[in-house]
Amino acid sequence: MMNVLEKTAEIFRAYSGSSIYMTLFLCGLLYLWITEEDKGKKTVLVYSSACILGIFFLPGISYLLLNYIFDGETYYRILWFLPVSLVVALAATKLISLQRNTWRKVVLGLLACVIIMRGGDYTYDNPTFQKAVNAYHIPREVIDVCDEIIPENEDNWVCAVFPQEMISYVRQYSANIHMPYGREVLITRWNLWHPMYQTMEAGIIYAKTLARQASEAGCHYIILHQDKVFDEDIEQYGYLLIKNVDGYHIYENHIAELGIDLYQKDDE
Amino acid sequence: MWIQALSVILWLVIIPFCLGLSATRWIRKEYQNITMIMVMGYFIMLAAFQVIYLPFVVFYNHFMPLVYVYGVSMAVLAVISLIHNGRYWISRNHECVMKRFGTKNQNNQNQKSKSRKTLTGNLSTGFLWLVVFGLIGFQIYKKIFYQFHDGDDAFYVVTSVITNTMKNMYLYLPFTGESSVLDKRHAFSAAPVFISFLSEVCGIHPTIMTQTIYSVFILIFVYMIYKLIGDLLLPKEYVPLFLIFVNLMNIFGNATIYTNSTFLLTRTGQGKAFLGNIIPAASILGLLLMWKNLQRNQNLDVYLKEIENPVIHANLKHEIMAPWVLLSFVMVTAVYTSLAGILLSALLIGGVTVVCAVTYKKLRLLLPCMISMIPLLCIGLLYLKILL
Repeated sequence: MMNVLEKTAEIFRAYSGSSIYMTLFLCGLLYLWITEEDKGKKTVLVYSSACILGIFFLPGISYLLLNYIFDGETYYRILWFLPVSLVVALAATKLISLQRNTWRKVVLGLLACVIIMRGGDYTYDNPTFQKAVNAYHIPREVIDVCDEIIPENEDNWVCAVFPQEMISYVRQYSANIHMPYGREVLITRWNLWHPMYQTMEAGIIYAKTLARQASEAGCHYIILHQDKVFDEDIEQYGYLLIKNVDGYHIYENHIAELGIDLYQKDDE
Repeated sequence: MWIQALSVILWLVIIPFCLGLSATRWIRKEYQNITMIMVMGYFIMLAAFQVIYLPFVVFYNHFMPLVYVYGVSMAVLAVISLIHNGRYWISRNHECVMKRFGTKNQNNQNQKSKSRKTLTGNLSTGFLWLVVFGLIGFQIYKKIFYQFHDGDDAFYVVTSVITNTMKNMYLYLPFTGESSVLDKRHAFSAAPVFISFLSEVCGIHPTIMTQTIYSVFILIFVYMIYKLIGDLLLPKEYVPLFLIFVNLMNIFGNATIYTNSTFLLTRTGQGKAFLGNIIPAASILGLLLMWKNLQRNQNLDVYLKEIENPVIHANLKHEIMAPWVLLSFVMVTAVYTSLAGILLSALLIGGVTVVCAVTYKKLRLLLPCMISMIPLLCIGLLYLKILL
């Protein structure tokens, strides 16, 4: 039971981070609990929040929820049901509305804004936010490369292997492009290893190994950044360079037409 | 381009508005306004999609018939709602206008003396509303013109794209494209399929629909609900100030990657943002409406016993039921985002209702609460049927 309590406390800390919003929320709850005369508002905002916190922390309930409904990764979602913004905003507005002097209202209002802004963390300064280059919110080179390989007939599909930086976006653009592995290989905690991913992301790419793995996975195309280095020319193994698009080489599978037997070559 | 824009307006503004006219009519007159109509309309639309979607995904799994059945039923319902409720809303509007200007003429003298004060009040309230719209506009601008890379889009957005391309639901692995059996864990959440529906009827690529149009719709939807909560909790002139604080709490709420504010502004198109922001806020809205009724009815009990007017009785019955209808829609819509939504929304709504019933010593309050949870129960049973 102590373990569960420690775990929930850890999840709570990870959820709250370094911002003061949870403290503000608890102060807001206390303020509303003391000053609010309307039983309804108290029940819906204060008591319900207390219940949610109780459910979150109470060892018996949290043990059941953690083990049978949620898991360590999703348990924090219970905290979404705490009306943090609502309670803080309501408490601040109520406090301001009680002031009779207009200037005092203005000063208090500005002070509340400053506390909220200084106490939190600005969302848009996250480096992951970037100016969108198109309405898809997908990097331009992904779209250009995909446009090059998408089959003309909408009912057909092609299989292609992409470098790590493109994996997450390709199928957001077109479901007609299949991949031998997807985003699952990027999530280390999932431990889903794929041999071709290892080959693709190695410092020096073993051309023969890649050609064989791609051919076995049924890949019509291999996409690689032009700066990637092969140990030998991959074209001799049937993947021919057909185009360079935005700095990415597109290699097309011609193994069958050229009559290359990758396994026989290996034996030689 | 124009046709696409008009389709978006039709499906995200006009149809929800028409649908909302019906349910909002039941809500107490002082809370009837355009925001309430839109919020009600959105919940009717999303809950209806969830209900129609479930049998399709479980038993039939073809996307286009779902598009036709849902699209036609929503359009027909919207027209019926408009015809049936149009007259009521026209007279209601007329009543409001008369009230506003009629009172003005009667109290002309009083008003002159107060006019200066009112003018200052109006100016400051107007300024605060401008700030509110500015803050919401800023978030919408960031949503449209900035991109945020989130790995989970490779699952949720791709699910919409697959549905739109392959015309079936949850039968292909989003990451690779391999065909598979029905993904039972995610199949109950209709959110990506709803986006596919919108992109199908509007002729817009599902990724564009998710990242720009649907995300903007979610942002507006969230603040509409907060506006309604503000109306219930505060005097009118303080609502914009309340909304400014809520906006700032969201914009500066990126304490960690887990907060609901972070989900709202970064992963807006994903069902999780919906679950973390719209479902809790809408549950609170429904519960506050229920509480307001309870409070009023406490005083009305004596009055009701004395009068026997069936029209007043019927109206009051509707008013009492209205918050439960909203809560019922909210609970069904919670499934729209994630199966965990069933438990979380039921816990919040059920828990608060029990507290209310005990506080006011009105155990009969538990009955509508239980009735409003019947759709959830059906969905739970369907889920068990699939699992076993």
